[in-house]
Amino acid sequence: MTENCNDKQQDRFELYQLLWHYYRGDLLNLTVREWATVTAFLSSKPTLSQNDWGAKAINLLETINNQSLETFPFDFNRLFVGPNKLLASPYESSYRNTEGTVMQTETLKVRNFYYHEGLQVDREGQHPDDHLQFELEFILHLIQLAEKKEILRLFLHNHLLKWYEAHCRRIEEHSQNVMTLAFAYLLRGFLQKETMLLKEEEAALC
Amino acid sequence: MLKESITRRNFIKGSASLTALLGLGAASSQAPKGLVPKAAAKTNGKVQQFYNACPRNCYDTCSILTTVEDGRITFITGNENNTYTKGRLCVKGNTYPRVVYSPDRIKYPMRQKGRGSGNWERISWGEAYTIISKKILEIKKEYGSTLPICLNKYSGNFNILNYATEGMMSSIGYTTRAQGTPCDPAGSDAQGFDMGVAYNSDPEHFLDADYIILWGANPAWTSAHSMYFIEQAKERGTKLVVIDPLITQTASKADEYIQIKASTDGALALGMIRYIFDHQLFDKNWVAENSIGFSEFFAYVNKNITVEWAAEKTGVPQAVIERLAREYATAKPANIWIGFGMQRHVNGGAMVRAIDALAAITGNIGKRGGGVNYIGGETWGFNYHTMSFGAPEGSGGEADRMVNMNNFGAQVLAADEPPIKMMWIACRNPIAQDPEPNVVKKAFDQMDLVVTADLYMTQTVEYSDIVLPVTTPFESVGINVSYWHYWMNVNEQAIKPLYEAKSDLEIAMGLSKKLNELAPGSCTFPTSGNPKEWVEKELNDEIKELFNIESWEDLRKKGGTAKANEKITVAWEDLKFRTPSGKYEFYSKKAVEYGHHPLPVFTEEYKAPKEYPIRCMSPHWKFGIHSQFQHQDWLMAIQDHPYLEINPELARKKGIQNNDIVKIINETGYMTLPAKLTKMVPPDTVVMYEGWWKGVNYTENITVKALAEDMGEYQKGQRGIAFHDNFVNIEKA
Amino acid sequence: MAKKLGFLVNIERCIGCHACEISCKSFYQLEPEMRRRRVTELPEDLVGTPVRAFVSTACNHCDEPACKNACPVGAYTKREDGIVVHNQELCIGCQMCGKACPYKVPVYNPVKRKMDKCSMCYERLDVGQLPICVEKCPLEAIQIVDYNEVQPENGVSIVPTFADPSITHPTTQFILPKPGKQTRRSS
Repeated sequence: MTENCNDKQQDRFELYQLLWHYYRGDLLNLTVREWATVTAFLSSKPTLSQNDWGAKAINLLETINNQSLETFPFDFNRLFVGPNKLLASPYESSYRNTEGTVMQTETLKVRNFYYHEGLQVDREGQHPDDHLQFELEFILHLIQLAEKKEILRLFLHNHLLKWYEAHCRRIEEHSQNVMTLAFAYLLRGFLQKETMLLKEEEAALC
Repeated sequence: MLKESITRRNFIKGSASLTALLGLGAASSQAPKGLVPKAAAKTNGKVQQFYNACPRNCYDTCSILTTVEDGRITFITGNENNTYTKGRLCVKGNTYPRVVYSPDRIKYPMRQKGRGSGNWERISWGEAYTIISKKILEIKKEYGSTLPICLNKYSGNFNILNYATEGMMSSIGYTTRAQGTPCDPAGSDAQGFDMGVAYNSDPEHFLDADYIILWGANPAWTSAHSMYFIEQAKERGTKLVVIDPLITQTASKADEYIQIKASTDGALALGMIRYIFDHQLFDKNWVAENSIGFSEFFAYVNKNITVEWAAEKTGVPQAVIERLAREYATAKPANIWIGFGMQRHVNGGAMVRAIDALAAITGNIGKRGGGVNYIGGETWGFNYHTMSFGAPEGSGGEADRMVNMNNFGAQVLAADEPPIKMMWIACRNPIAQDPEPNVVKKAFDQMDLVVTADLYMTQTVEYSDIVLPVTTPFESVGINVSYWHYWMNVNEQAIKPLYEAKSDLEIAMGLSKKLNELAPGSCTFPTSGNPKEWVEKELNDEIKELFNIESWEDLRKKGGTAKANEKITVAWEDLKFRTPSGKYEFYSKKAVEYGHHPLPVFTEEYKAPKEYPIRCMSPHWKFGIHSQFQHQDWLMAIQDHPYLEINPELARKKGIQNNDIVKIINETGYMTLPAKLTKMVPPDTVVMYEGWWKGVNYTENITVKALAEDMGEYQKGQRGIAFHDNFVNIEKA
Repeated sequence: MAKKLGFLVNIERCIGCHACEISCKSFYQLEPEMRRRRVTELPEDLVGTPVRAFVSTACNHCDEPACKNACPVGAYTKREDGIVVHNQELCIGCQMCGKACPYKVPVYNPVKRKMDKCSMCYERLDVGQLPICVEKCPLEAIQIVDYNEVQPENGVSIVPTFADPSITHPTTQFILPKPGKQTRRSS
């Protein structure tokens, strides 16, 4: 691999990792200063800053203040955690069947991917396997291993890339906070790039 | 194959950037651990079946067969080993997969910053227990007792192990309890005065009836499995009569439907009795051998009641009353089923006593296929072990303090010395289901802490400080019986609890553990225990003998469901009544003790105030049981909004057309909803079905005042609510 | 002689509870908005006296299935026993069948991008089990009848809301409710 290629690969890894942290809820208690670090980190990624959605996300994150920080966890919970009806369910199956039931066929298909790689969700059966957090973690497992490239491509193609847009639309519709909105843009921008990347790879294969 | 070490390496590599910079270790979050190496020998495609029990507040209390594939429920249906439900569920039961796997379930313990603000933060179970325990201990210290802590729990889940919540409260000391029931109290008192207790015959015996009167009952919507037996009987030639102010789904199936003016059923029964007396159609031997006070009752009827009067009172023509009386008195056996709705009036208890008397004078009580069937509790003889631990030493106060569940808001506000400062709500949605919801909210406002355990976001959860996620029946262990049929159903754990849900029993153990950590000895509830051991402790020799089982495990092995011994399935077959005299009491001293007339006399109905002349009834809805199920989207896909049934004649007077938005108003409040013009309701009555809360900012109880029924204290500690004596006016909005 | 299987729906018994519809939906784990059986409210003056009445309908497994004739890829077959089977593997989601069916039975599944309809649970029938809606109706109001063998004496081919049977000759028959006696309060 070339140096450039490695850098790109590292960028992808880091962005998936950031999103993973976000959906785990790890970013709920960051300070304004720490958010500045996150924003700077994002600005340093050309994949993002040169993408419309990515740029929008970065612009929004630059407006973070104490008030937006305060309402961020509440908005995050309204969208992804509860206890209310989830406004932007983080479970794949919520988007793959129109009434949004969890633990459906799609969930099992995702589980099969994990099994194929010798993995499973901790306390399987309690947390639906297709929570975005788990799907991102699975991608993190695969992404740095050259021999897993095909599995990763399949997983992205069959799963995450099939539903992220619907998920982002729901967030955009219901978000009441700049940070949750910024992360919807971020997810959208980054996964658009991923989609293009997969297409390029496919074209190269042909 | 990936190993843990590789996982770690990946993250360490990545952590050069953000993870380390921000100190985001894997442990910093509430999230589940994530992906772990797959346990060996795990394959997809494993199919298992489990027995479950529907625990909702419903006559039919179904035995369920649950199919699980790969740890995931794929189908939920009835258990064919049960001859009452015959392997079929009602429409609501068929939605259970949806109940379990709805993305909208409450998943984690959460705390609301500002009651009603919608600003929720996720907390761990440990944090939840700590916050609650500290509040309990603080209250105990400040007030010298735990009486400022109030439990409001009722019928959302009748699994016997769910009494652990009451047990948990008893285990911290004396507390305040929401007492009574909005369900059956007046009628149960009436049957208590007449016979000692309410006791119904096996509904499968409808097949043995020669004549059936469904009196204010709508089993087509509320007990579909009973309706099967009634339809079967009908097809074999049994006459089905339905007496109801509304043309219900059940009335639509009747051989004869009699529309009665609401709350005058007692007058109809007494009119029929007068006719039966006049024509010597009563069972002289039965009353002579099995009752006391018959001559006083006979004299009362002859002096005060005429059929003409009854016709006037009830709106039922005299000829119809006479024919009905003759048919009923000469059919053997004749079966009456009194619905709960019929007694939700200020004279409900008196009306049930009159109907009981009708069954008694015709000798229909104690006969297979006959009876005056209302509700029963013969199969509920569990140990209630979860409630047996008692108050810890040094608890302040002497006994629990009771507030009336049916006037909860006002009585909580009025409670003093000590005031109520904390509320625990389980298996209930009081803000939707109580009368005068705005008063209930005011009571909530007075609390330091409101804790609600629930499956879904309800109006009550919206107004709580802490919400605890609870399990569905499929995620915990239990045992259930019915207040109607004679079956006992096993409830196995079919799947792991989703997310962080816990059963009420686990919550009780967890809270006790935390309380004892913070203040040793402050809670007597056990801090650990296997649910299967807990459930076995519920069974005693009598109940095992009654159901011919050795244990819960034995019942599970025998097909998950068992029927009680035939010796109890015909109510009062031995004619040994549980009254003070041991006889059927037309004349009840017990009734006098509770401030009532000793005889089943006529009591006037509640009169409509001039400004609010229209009766608004709120009977039960076919797609819900109270506030449960209706919000499930499989059911919302069939009917997605509440509506008001209005007779076309009334609608014309008010200038209302189909689907117009109508405002219902009285002195308690108002709401607006679409009109459905229908002849199913009479012109002086409108109907709004009970329990609808999804997508609207009101419930049917907005205009319901905490108007008491005439009875309830004897059997239930408190009087019930006259839900159907709700008078309103309507206008086009 | 070949069979002619069809549904016999007893409206006299039906309580409009929708358990047939929901148990079918649950059993087949269809994309949950899909309904292969549907319960429809009938006019309340159906039998003369006002009543609440409903009819439950699914695919009518017609003698001359319009869906089959309209399908450009031959996804529909009519079995020997009369069941009209839709093969989803072959379906291209063009929705021609849905437009052709006078009962609007085949419905489009937007997720699978294919049509979907009731199969009379032929896989269950073939192994001696009843269709789910038949087995799960709490009132036993739905039956499967071989109309070449049995002619229910009170069976009718048409109810209000139901399209003209002369077009496709549906096999479904209905038992209409009998009017009961009513004493209603005069206003």
